[in-house]
Amino acid sequence: MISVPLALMILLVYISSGYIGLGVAGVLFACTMIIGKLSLQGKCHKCHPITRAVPESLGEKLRSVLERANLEDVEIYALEDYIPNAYSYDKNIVLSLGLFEILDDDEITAVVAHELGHIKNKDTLIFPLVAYLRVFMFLMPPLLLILTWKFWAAVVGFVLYLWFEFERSRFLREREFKADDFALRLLDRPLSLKAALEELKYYEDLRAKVKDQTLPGIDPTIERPSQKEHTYWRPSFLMFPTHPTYEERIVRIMVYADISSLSEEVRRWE
Amino acid sequence: MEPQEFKLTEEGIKAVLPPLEAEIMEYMWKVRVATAGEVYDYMKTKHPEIRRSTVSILMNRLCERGLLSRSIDHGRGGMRYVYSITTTREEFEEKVVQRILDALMSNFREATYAYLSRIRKE
Repeated sequence: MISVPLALMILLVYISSGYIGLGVAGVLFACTMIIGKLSLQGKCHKCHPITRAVPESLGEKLRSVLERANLEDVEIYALEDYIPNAYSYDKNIVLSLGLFEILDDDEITAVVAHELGHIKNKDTLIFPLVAYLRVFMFLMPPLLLILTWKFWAAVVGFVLYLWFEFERSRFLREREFKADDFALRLLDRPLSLKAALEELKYYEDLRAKVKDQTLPGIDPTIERPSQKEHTYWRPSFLMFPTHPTYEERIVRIMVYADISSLSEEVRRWE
Repeated sequence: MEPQEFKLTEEGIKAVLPPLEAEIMEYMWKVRVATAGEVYDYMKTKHPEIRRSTVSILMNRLCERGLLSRSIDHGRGGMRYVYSITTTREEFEEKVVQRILDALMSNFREATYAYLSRIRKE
């Protein structure tokens, strides 16, 4: 349903400013796409082909997952970064070296399978397009105001932008689940994806706690008020989240594993 | 690393570092260079419930404190981060004593002089 607010925005532009407005909106979108494309170029500066970065045993597992996914042309890279992270773009998957510090081989394979899910579902093409559309939708209300000097048009445009944000959040969350579903079907041990997510969640939670700790001065017995835990408004509270929580994903994996084991049981009985 | 905190109730380097970080540093001073995986294997023998993430975060925290440095090793088993000590145990202990005495001298000059000369006589 992400297309509905977009279509309504185009309709609003046409109603409030006619073909001139549509032309200007088209130019704006083209500029957004060009700037976006340029900013995404040279995305992987400190990347190394995975074959050089991992032991042969893991390399073999990753190759086998690529074959099963029928995506042998996908390149996997190791990124020089100690923070665990994984992402995909075009037909490339990037795994940070930090990921190898906290996950075992099966869990790394599960992360790769999830990223392969994004590539298979064409998310690596769709996600940048959604990002360009987001910028376009954000810029349209002020542009409408400049073009038409009609306050109502800008207000309606802004409401459509908020609707777009909501739909975008729902859409991106669904795509994450779809990538998980693809990974689960691909993996020999589907629960390794659950283990990987649990470890990543643990890492993020612990890192946030460690980051909050300030180094106190020489005053060992006095508890400083500045060291007390603060709860800040994080961006996820302010905006529509684009990723499901780890808990939501883990629950779905557990349900999948239960259904798989049940159907296995039924097959055996038959 | 400049020690910022001294816990009077703790022993050894645990007085200036959190307990798990102190244990990691004890091990690192023994082996000098290690991967997070090797440190995890060692810590697992003492704390069976410890997770890889905990070790990785603490190793990075020690890097931020300047006690360890991180570099990439391109070995036969692939690429991995290796951590090395930046200071010996003796240098670190010397820094701790120096920092504490400096703080005492600037805050309680007379009392510190008096106490030091008294224990010197004893």
